[in-house]
Amino acid sequence: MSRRLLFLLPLATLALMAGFFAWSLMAGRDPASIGSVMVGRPAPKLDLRALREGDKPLTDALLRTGKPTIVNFFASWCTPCLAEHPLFTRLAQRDGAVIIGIAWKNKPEEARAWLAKLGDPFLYAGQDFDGRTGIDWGLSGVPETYLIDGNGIVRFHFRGPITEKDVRDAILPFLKGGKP
Amino acid sequence: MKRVLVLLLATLFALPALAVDPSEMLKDPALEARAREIGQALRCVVCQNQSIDDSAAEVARDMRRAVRERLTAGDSDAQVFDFMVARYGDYVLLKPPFKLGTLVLWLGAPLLLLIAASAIMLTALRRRATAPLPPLSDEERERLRSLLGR
Amino acid sequence: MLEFLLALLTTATVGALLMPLVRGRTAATHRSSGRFEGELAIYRDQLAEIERERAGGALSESEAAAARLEIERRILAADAAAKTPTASSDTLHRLLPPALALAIPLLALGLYLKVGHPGLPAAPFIAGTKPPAEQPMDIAQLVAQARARVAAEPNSADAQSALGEALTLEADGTVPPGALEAFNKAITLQPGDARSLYYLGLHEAQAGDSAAALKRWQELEAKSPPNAPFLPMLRAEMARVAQAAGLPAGATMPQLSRDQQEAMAALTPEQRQQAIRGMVEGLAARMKENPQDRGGWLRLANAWKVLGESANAVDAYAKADALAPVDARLLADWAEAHVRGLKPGEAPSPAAVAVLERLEKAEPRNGLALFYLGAASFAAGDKAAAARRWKTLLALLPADAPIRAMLEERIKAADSP
Repeated sequence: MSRRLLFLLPLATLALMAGFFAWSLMAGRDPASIGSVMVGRPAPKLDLRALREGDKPLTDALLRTGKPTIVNFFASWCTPCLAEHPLFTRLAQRDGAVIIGIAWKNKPEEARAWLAKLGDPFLYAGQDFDGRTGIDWGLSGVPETYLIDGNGIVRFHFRGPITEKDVRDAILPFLKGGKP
Repeated sequence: MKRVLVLLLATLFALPALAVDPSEMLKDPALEARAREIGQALRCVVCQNQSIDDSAAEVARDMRRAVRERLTAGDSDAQVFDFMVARYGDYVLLKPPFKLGTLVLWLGAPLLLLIAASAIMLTALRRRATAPLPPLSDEERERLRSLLGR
Repeated sequence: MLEFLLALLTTATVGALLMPLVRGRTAATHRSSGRFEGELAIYRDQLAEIERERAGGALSESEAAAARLEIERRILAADAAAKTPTASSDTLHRLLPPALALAIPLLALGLYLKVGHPGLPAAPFIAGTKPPAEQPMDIAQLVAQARARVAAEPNSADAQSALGEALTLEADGTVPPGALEAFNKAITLQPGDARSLYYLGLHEAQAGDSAAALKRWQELEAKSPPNAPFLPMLRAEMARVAQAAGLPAGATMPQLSRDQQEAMAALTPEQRQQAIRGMVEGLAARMKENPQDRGGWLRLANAWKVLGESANAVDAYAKADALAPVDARLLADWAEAHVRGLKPGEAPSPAAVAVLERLEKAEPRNGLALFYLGAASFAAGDKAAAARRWKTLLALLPADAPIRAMLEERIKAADSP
């Protein structure tokens, strides 16, 4: 009898693995999700030309103002950016959020035209045309959004468009408390 | 025949096309060789399982450029890997490091093999350890004789 | 074509599984004798080999005896196995093939219906291909036409909302600020404009206030004629937004079912009033059992107020306020319920004064509070306070307000020693 049990062992292992994979699929866990090593660390360096003509360049000082700050990488060619844009507009208008927008791999004139059409929620806007700043921030694409506390520490990193739920559950509490 | 052989060899040794653009390459062939080696070991973060050298994605191109910039600046290979891990985490390494979080990854397959091997060993041992057989009874001897035909 | 391929694949899978089972069964009947002969031959060889090794001295007498005994036992066991039919597995063997043949296609079909999209049109091979080149032209044209129409008829709500819609199309479905402005203009020109209400709701949903969007859409749905062409689309959008935001589609307002709405429409006004009163009384009874539901008390208060039952409304407001203090807007409703029953010139009750004072504190320029607190001060003999409140109110009133004359009269009375 125990010998038969022994033969069942590989089968049980297989079943266990199948169960794990099924759980991965069902629980909405994204196996391709790469997480972020940025959270809990000081924000990477910021040294960018301004997107809007006549604005001052963007520097690290903007991230260490004592006020929680949102950094959003976007592009006019990116459809999910369009979907999350009204959320940023409302965060800026209603909640007075400080939002830094960075146009990633986007021609400045195209990014400016996009903001002119959809509204510009960014207190500061920079251009990362060649994607160097994106690499420093561990960016994998657009849109991605970072929440940075008053001391310049990254507290959240959203890959992909933010949603109403993100605003309600993470961003608004973060703006109020400065900490998650 | 010879032509077929050549064709066969060519298909056997064909390498996947690289996404590295000639314009990206470094002038120094030694540095470029190191960049290729590193590029083969770094994962393109938006592709499922491609190295940055194999991927045409925007981010992969930026990462290749960053690797070459670090090398030109005099970084060692290890420093370049650290640069990438600091930004994208261990995920960026196609060969993951050996640590607590990757234990299952590294030890899972050998462990399974070990379990299977010990199962086989145990069964074999048990078979050998069986008690001596009782001698045949008269009736059994009779049946055997008729079966063997003697 | 796809269905055919799927059927083919399923058949192949079932066939691959059934083949060994069926073949095994037909073979089993022939096996017993044939296979035993083969085994016997092997054992014969082994016995002969033992004999050889014993003769050559490789095996001792006792070792050879033990080895021989083992083989002899195996021969007996093989013979016994060949003679007894494999009865235990027979039922399993009989049942397994048809069970598999049924279970596999059923499982596959179930899985496909659960996760598949049978109605999905074929996708173009290259993802992300641009729509035909003329389409952007069309939208630009649409926007230009809409702008021209707004310029020609600046006071047409329809022109404004058409412009808003064109701008939204241009922004790939996101309501941009320009469109928002157009829709708001349309709403001021014509408060019930369905298109503007729909897009204003869409904007709220996109800007992260799905609850407000759903409320607006529910009101639009309730006001729309039952055969309005946009209703199916509106309902689908409501379901989508509610699901995305994790809200129940009909949670913000108690909704009547379709049948109930139709039944309501068939009643005479008196009967309808009676039916509504019945529903409100039902809510009141439920609130007695569940007095901690603050939202329920507020709904009840509002319902009593609409029915003109001010005293009941005042009670319900007080119940809600005891659970958590109400805000300025609700204070105004509560105060209004308090003073509605007063005759002209009558001073408000102490309970009403308490609510009015809270309202005045929250909104120092609230007309209702100023007027009735003035009356209360006057009745209590504090003429100076009464005059101060009424004068503040007078300054807030437009020049042609009908109650100015009455208010001036009262101020005169308060000012006279």
